[in-house]
Amino acid sequence: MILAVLPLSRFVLGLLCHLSERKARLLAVVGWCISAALTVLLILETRDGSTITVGLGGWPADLGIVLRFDAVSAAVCPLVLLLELAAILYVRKDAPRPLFYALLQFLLGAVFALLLSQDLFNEYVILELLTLVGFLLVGYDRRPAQVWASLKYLVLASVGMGFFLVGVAVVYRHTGTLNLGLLAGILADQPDAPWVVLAATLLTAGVAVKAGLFGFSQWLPAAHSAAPPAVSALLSGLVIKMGIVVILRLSQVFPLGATLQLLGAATALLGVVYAAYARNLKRMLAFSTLSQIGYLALGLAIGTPQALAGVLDYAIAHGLFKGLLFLAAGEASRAVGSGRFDDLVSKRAAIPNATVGALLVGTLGIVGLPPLAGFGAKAVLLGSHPNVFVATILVLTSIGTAFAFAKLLPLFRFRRAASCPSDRIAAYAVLALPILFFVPLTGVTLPSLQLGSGLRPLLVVESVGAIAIGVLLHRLSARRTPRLPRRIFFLEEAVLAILIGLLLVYLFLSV
Amino acid sequence: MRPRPFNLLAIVCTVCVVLVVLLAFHSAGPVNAPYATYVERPVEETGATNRVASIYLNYRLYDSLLEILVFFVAVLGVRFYLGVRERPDVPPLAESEVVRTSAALLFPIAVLLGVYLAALGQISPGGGFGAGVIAASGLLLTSIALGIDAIDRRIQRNAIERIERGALVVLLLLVLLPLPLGHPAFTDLLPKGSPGMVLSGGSIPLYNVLIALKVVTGSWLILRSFVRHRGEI
Amino acid sequence: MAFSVGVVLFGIGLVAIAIRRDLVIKLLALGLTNAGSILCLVAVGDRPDARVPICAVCRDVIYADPLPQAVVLSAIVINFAILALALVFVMRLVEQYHSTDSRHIEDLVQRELDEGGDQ
Repeated sequence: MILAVLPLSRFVLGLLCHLSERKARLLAVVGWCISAALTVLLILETRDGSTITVGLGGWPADLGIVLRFDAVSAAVCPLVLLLELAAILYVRKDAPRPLFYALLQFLLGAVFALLLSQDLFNEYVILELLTLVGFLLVGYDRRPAQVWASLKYLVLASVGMGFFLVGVAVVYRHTGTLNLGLLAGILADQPDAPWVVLAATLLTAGVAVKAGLFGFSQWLPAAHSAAPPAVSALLSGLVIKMGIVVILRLSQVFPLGATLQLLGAATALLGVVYAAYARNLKRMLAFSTLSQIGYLALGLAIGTPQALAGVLDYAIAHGLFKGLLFLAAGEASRAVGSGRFDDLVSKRAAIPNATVGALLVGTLGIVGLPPLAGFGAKAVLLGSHPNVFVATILVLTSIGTAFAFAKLLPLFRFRRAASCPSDRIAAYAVLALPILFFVPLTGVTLPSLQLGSGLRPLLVVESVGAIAIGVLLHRLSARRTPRLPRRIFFLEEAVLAILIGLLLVYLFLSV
Repeated sequence: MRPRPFNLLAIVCTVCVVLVVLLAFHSAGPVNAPYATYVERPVEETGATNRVASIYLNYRLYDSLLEILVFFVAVLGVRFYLGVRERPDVPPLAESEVVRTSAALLFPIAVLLGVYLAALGQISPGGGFGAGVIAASGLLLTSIALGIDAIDRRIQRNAIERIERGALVVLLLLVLLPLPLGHPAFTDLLPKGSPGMVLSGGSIPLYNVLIALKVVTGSWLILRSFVRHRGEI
Repeated sequence: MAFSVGVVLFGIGLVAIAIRRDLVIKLLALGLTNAGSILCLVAVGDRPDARVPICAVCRDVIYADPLPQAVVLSAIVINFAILALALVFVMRLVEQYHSTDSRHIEDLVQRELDEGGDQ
């Protein structure tokens, strides 16, 4: 029964933050404490693998809306709490207006609501709320580049949700229900019904726009790199995962496997290519987010329970280190005055040591150095017996990520540099410590993630090898960066890409 | 528009998507899914004869709450991102006596219609959202005819803001109230009354009124911001 | 029938977003797209000779399905909220760049990012 309190408390606090301007930060901390307490209670109750279900209003699944706390919710809620704590600590120095804290509460309320949701239209409304709040946060400083990036985000996300809504219409017409549990039952009886392909296409294409899959999410590089640092951390670390969570729930109802493989592979590879040749740190991080989402999609495509555990592992791990990287990148850019690599390297004395340390931990995590967070999660994914195609793409992406992040090597020299405010250091620590101690921590708190099963010596060799090859390739490659086509990220081209993507998804699903 | 290759490609792709969706939809075979789930429920369950209202204000109240939050965030956003530079003097658009008189006549009718729809949402088509929008349109009409300054003198912005926030606070409290009493959130605890009467439907009339207040104040704040920031529409 | 009209409206809106360069026209087209998807959803609840689903005892007659209608209310309000906010941001862009041409704005933003290093 306390399930509903998790998102609702956030909404109440968001309203209170807006009403009481001076206590906004205190209210944000109160919100965190309430959610933390509830999450701990819920995780403790579901440690044995059970789920908690509540029919809101007392109505059953075929009449009302049902909330459910299951393994996916249990896995992602700690990530939400850690990222939120880091964000609150990070922005303390900037003293943002109360509206920022209010929007933050609404964002997190929507995230919790989505993690508990089991209803298609409920997911639609929550995704729209996430779009709206994200759009406002990206454009928060009101600089023209941010305003344009967030407008692009809004238009494309709206179009995507339009497709999703038509998909909901098709599903409702042929099943009479919107509850995911009931839908799974109906579709298990008639898996080959002709309407299933159309519905799956529309729903998946709609969510793909929000989830970060290539072809559908051309708004991502601009929006994630233009946003204020704490917002980028939350968007890349958390909000984009919500799209993947919805795709996960859809894949439990509809047969999506092969399509996700191709989409995931394209996203992963194209993301690293663009990341490798980006000239701006935050843009590189945004492209890297794209490629890591491809990882998650590939993991979903494998479909086994161990692969699902790997996807959740990696979602948490990526949330942690991408959040840390964005926070540190924001501080570094501000200290140097520019986000370009040339400037960062030449003026690295201006960057505080703590920030460089945070960048180091984040980089080690994302390239998958054992035994940090990234390695543990990748090990589970690779250890879940993927087919040759998926395994190759995963390895290639690891090499590519190392190649892209090797650009940061010149920054990692520790010397006497400017000092960093203690709030920021605390923010980095909140995220860095779980990255460093990921394997033992999750073994205790989230046993369902089965991390121990993935740690085999071969995988250690493979990880270290991929990192080494990537760095070597970077050393050997020419210094000139080729200009990759940027027009595909413009608004109109992005709409065309969504259309083409939808046709391709339909093609692959009907085969 | 010159027929650039991009434009052509976009048109072709859209036509393909439309055709694919239409063909797939119409060839999907006979529909034998239940569609009367909500209509067949006994009216005593919710107390409202308007089955649509019973859905979005009782069975699926959670979705309506989320969407009210979306609306609230939109009002916050418009106020914040337009906020600072308001033009102090904005002349009215319509100068003819006919328009001014008609607006003055229509405004109370619009408000009355809004009250009617909000109060009787559980037994006739309408409901809080429509009521709020109609009342806000009445305000907008009056602001076009009489000028935004005239409206702002009579309707204080602070009062409007307080009503808006108050409506949302009461809504959230009502929704959370069943929890300490042992029921799941969003449960309707009021007596359902006899179907077809004005005072029926449990909490549905209450929610309708709250939503109508929220929508009229929120819409008016948005419209007012637009008018103030740029001049009359 | 109504579903087909909805899909066609959706398509017209999409084409207009992709082809027309004026930002305000893009927003109008976005509104049209959303209206198309809403029409699709309402059309799904239609039945031949259906009556309005307002009844104390609903038997022996075919009533329209009330769920799509209830659900569409939320979609309409969300659509309104999105358009209002998008319009605000367009106003901000026009204020800065004195143009509603999306290509022009895109090029200017790109140039700013290249020079400024995106602090």
